[in-house]
Amino acid sequence: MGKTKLSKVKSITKSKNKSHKQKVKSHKKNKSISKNKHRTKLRSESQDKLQKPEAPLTNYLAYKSNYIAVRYIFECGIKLGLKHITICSAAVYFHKFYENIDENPYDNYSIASATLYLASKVHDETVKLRDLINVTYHTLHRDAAPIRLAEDYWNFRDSIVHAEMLTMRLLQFDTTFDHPHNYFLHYVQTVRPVFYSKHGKDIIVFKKAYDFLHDFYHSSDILKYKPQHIAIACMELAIKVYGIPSQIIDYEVQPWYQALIEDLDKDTLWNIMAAIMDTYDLELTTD
Amino acid sequence: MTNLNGVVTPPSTPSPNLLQMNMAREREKYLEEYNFPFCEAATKFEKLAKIGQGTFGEVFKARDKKNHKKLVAMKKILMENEKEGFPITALREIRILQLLKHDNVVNLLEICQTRANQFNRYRSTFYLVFEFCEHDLAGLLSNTKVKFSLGEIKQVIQQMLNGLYYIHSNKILHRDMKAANVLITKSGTLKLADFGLARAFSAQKNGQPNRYTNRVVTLWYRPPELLLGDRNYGPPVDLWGAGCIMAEMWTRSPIMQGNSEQQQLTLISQLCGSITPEVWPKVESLDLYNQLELVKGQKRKVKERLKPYVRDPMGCDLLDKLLVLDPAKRFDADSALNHDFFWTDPMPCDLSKMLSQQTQSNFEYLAPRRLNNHQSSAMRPASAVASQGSSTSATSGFHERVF
Repeated sequence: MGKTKLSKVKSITKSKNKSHKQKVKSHKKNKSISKNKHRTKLRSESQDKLQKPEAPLTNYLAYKSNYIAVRYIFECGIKLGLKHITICSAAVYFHKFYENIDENPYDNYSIASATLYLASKVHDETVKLRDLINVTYHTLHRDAAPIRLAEDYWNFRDSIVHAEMLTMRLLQFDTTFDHPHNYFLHYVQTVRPVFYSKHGKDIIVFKKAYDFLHDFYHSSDILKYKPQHIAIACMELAIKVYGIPSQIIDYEVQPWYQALIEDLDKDTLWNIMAAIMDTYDLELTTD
Repeated sequence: MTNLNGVVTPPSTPSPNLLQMNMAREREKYLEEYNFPFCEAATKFEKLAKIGQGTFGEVFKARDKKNHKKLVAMKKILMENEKEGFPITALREIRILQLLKHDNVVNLLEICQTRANQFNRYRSTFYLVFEFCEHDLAGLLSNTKVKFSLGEIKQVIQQMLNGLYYIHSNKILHRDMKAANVLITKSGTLKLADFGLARAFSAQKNGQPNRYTNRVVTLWYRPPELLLGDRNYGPPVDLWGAGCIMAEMWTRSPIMQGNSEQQQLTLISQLCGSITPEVWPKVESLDLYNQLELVKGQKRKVKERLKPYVRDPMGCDLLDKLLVLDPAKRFDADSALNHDFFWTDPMPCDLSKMLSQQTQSNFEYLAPRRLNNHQSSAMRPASAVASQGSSTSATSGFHERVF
């Protein structure tokens, strides 16, 4: 029984993987446009050699969904050269914002820009408002002429500042968030010797797990679960996709993660893995 | 219609002037009446008196209108640079206060705001709401009727070091230690306050030294490494301040009241001896070491000069360990707490009995002003000098100089 479930998981995630790769590709493409210094920790050289399908740049104005807005946060954040964790905080503020309002009279992309600005302040790498406006504006209007220091510019500035104030209040001034990254890296560090495989399979699994974690920020479910659990679920899902990197792990005896964490039961784990996979369906929904 | 054009997406119209004016008026009305779901109005509190001037705003004593027994201190967040959005200093202070929960650290209760209206140009003012503390240490020390016994002094210093130990182990630097920022409740609990200049610190990253601003800490409490332009400093900056405050418990006024950075360094040298590479090996690498005139040939006489005031040899010894020029050799909060000063008779004792004789609050801000010839700017942290115009900042230089 467990096996059928497993193979189903495999096939679903594999088909979703494509869209996921496309998305990452679109980020990469934008990176080269912006000519900024970037951290390319995410993927190694060897992976870049793999042929990836061409992905068109997202025309954000054609969408109005929170999923696409978070993609917008990531694209702008990378262009601004922000740290990964800063961008993730911005995504979290964005989700919290929409969690706390009932009706939605607000422009997705204004709120997204404001959360990026706020996150950059929180993480001590404040971006200049001018840079932020240029980047966010030209990501929305890719072919537009440079924005002039005129009324429009001052309006953008005001709207971002106002949206930031509103966000602060909706966050109840609480800008702290316990990111799963903190746990993820420790877990990886801990299990590395156990997962070691000569063929580098463990590295692939960890990388994919990190990608899952990164993509999970597109879903507001990131707020729903304990960060420790999310970190484990990302690793477990990657194992389900690629297979166990090392024969040492025997699920029949004891699942590997029980050595790291005590309060994670099987149902919660499956729920989180399902939520991570559902993230890849969000792209298709437009609202 | 452009996206990103306003928080409330305006309907796209060919905007004749009249329509725009109507829209503006509607917007103002909307703002006036909008109830923010998680941010209560400041009107739920009734201001009673102004009790201080912090590094980035005024502080008021206030009480809850619904519950008259509940007293709070409200600290106004200055929104000077509103074009940049929510001030990053306030953001830091809030984050740090939310992180720190300890008996000896002031407790942030909530944040509230004033309503937007035409008088404040539709911009709300925010207030940090703290639990109310009856006294601050500078106020208590300037009140000659307040007498501390040795046990009570030990209690104050021990609590202060406990607070410092806690914030440092949470990787936070206070960066504005002074007597006026040490609050004491009427039950005798000490609370470190004003985290307006505080920041998180970390060990060097990838071998890159940190580059923090050295324009922090009120001049009279500023440690020598900051005066010499160090930008890669750490917890010892707060321990220097703690040493100054500790000495002040006996001298009753700040021990080194310089008028300028240069004079402050001179005063420090006169007390702690000349600043030389022999006593402080890494001092040569500091930016200003060669640029400032340093007094030569001074002997260290911390114990001799403080003995007439302190008398207790253990206390003198601890002061000698805190007021150390080289930050690497200065005591940290943990070793200071382990010092025999706190573990010999008279042991630290309860403050509440002594404080119960005080029927009125003692705040430095409210302390009677005396004639003074100190420049008031000397008392404020350097970074605040730039941002604040004329502040009524606090500490009137009451007392003659000790040294």
